[in-house]
Amino acid sequence: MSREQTATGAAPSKETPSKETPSKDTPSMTSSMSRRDALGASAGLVVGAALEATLAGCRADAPSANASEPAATAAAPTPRAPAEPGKFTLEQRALVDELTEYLIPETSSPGARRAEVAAYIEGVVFAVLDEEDRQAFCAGLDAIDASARQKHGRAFWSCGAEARSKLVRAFFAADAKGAPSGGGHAGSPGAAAVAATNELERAFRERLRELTITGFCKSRLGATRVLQYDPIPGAYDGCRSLESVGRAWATS
Amino acid sequence: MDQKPKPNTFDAIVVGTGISGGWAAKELCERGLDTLVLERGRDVRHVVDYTTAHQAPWELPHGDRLTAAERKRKHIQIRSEIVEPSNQHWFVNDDEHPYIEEKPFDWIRGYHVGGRSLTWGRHCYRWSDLDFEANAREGVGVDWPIRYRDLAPWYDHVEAFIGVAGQAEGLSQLPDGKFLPPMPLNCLEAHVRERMRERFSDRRMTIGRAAHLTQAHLGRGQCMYRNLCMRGCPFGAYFSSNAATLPAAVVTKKMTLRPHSVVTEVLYDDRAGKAVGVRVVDAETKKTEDFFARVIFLNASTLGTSFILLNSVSRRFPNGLGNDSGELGHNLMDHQFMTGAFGNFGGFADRYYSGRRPTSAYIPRFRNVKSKTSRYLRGFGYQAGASREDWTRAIAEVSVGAALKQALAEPGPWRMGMTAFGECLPHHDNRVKLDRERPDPFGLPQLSIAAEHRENERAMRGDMRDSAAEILEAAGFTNVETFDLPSPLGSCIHEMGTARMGRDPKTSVLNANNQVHGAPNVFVTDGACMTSSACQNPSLTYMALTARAAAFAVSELDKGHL
Repeated sequence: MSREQTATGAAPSKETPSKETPSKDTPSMTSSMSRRDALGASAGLVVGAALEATLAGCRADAPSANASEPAATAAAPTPRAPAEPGKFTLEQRALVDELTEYLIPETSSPGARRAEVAAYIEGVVFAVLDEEDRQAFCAGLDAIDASARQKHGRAFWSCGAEARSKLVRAFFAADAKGAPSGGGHAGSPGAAAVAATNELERAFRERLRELTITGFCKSRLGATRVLQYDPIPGAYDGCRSLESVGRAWATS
Repeated sequence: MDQKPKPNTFDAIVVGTGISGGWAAKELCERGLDTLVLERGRDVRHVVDYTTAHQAPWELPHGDRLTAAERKRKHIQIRSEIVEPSNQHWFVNDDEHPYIEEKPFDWIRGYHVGGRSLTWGRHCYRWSDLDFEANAREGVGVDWPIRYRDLAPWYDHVEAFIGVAGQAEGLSQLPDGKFLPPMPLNCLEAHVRERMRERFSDRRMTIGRAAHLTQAHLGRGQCMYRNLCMRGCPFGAYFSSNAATLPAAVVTKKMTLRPHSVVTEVLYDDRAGKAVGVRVVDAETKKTEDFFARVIFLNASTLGTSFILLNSVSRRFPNGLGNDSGELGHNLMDHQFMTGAFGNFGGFADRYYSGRRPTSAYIPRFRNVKSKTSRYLRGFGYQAGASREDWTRAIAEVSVGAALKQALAEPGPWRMGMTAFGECLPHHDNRVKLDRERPDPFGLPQLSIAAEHRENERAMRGDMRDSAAEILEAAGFTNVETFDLPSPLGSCIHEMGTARMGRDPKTSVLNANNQVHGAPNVFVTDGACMTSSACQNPSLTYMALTARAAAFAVSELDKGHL
């Protein structure tokens, strides 16, 4: 009795993350069985032993650790603490914050940081995503951290602002070039594993884009200051000048 | 009416408060019957219990995405892809209400006052004699015992009360009704309507005829164009039992509404040859209690009603109430859909819209209307909608920073999608039965369902897909892409049949007035009564059949026939 509404929207939604509701138009995150295994195995090839030291994973049910607020993005070196259950580690949170603000920066209007997109992503990663996708997301974060250790000999959050910014830029630049940010060894015996890593990195980037854009456009600041939101339109005009409307609507 | 001879006794009992149960309650109460209305779920008070109705996107958990735990609790309901935190309280928890899928069947439902009238798609289309005569003409199933002329005044009656916004088109296969002013097509839809008029003599695009108020109507407010209907409308601007029929029944002071009342069977008196009441398990206390009345309306939803009938075993009816024919539980139908096409449109770059229209455009059936034009029987209609792509398009792109932000703030290109709704023929082997070996948490048998789309549906499906692309291409769309996704029975949430109306007690469960053969004071007027499925959304027809049967029941009572 009620499928009509979703069945006929002109543009299919691209924001559904759950495997239970696959949509043709959802950016594919479904490398079925052993995404996590593949990541674990192939990441080692690229970034070496550094990975082992940094992989904090995502703890959905670990015993409670010291509760503390996420570090400011300037990321003063703090002692490494295990994640609270259902939360990113401080390092992961700071990294997510930096990545989202790079994607949607503050300009004349608020960006992802002010819209608290990292908190949205934390909620989705720990409550909404399936275990496999959660692990893949956290492994994606940790791979960036590993890349920092490889290039700069220190964790992402303890790199300087300049170095962090370069790492983030390199991570997203890979998207445009279709190449991995960590560098590859095409033709080497590990080429297949490298390709698998690249694929995981691409999938992670896509997930990050999806969560950042969704979290921002559904936030109060994003919906009202960058897009526009009308809680009670009161009337429908199906054909008017774009100029008279202005910015895009946040909801449809 | 008579003095009550014993406790728990009423003139009439209505089982269910969804779209047809609400109508039975309203009509029986307004015609003077003391009516007990039983609902298996909780009460839902109009407006005050629409707890999410005013929440902004940022006030909903996780941007209105279900958590992994919530998806597990509703693992069947989410197959519909319409369940969200903002409406999940209108859908059952599947582990509490199991059923057996011998073949895949999506049973999407909510147990609460108002039922699926809160979450329905609101499209309202009359059937015509093209539909009522089809079975007889083609030798499929059994003949409908009624024709359009029998139902037309009741379509009038129902539309006048619920309020249907729509455009008269003068089409024989989709009779015009009593419409409120239509909602407009947008720029692109209006363009497609014109191009279709030029290119196809047999096809027309019109605005969906839907139960939304485009002006204040009988004390209910007009649509505010929020398109948040599925949360419940605080303005009462779309039709639901909660907003319209149940309040009308309350006004009569004749209605006793009893939530948490799971009807397990109809009590049949072998000697009197009629039903005397129903047995209820209280969903909270688990206590059993009987209620009595002279007339009983079953409006528990198609499968809920077939469950009750199958579980009502007496000496006279050892295989379920009214099941002399052996057809009870059989001939289950559901529209097939999830196929159609999308396309992009290059023009109207300087045009946009404001307000969120809560309904789509509609293309009525054009196959096999005036003459047979395909190798399969019957036909399909389309629901279609055009819009400019929104911010979600940026997810698949690669822009970052200020450029990405700019893209989010601008509407994307125009795009249109069309989804077909195809008729499903009645087939005896598409059936439900009771499984008494595996009781549910109430200790009741589970429904076991084995149904599938068959040869005619499969033959139609490719045309449903390709004709959508043909229309879009003819209207100047580019990048036209078709889609064809699995659509098991139940997935359209238009399940119907299992207690069909007919002319002969040997081959049907109900007569022309929706009376159960052999139990004339029991009426079935929900989707279970349907003899064929047509391709139109069925709720309007359920409502018209209910109002008609209620008037008949009262006149029979007055004559002393029941």
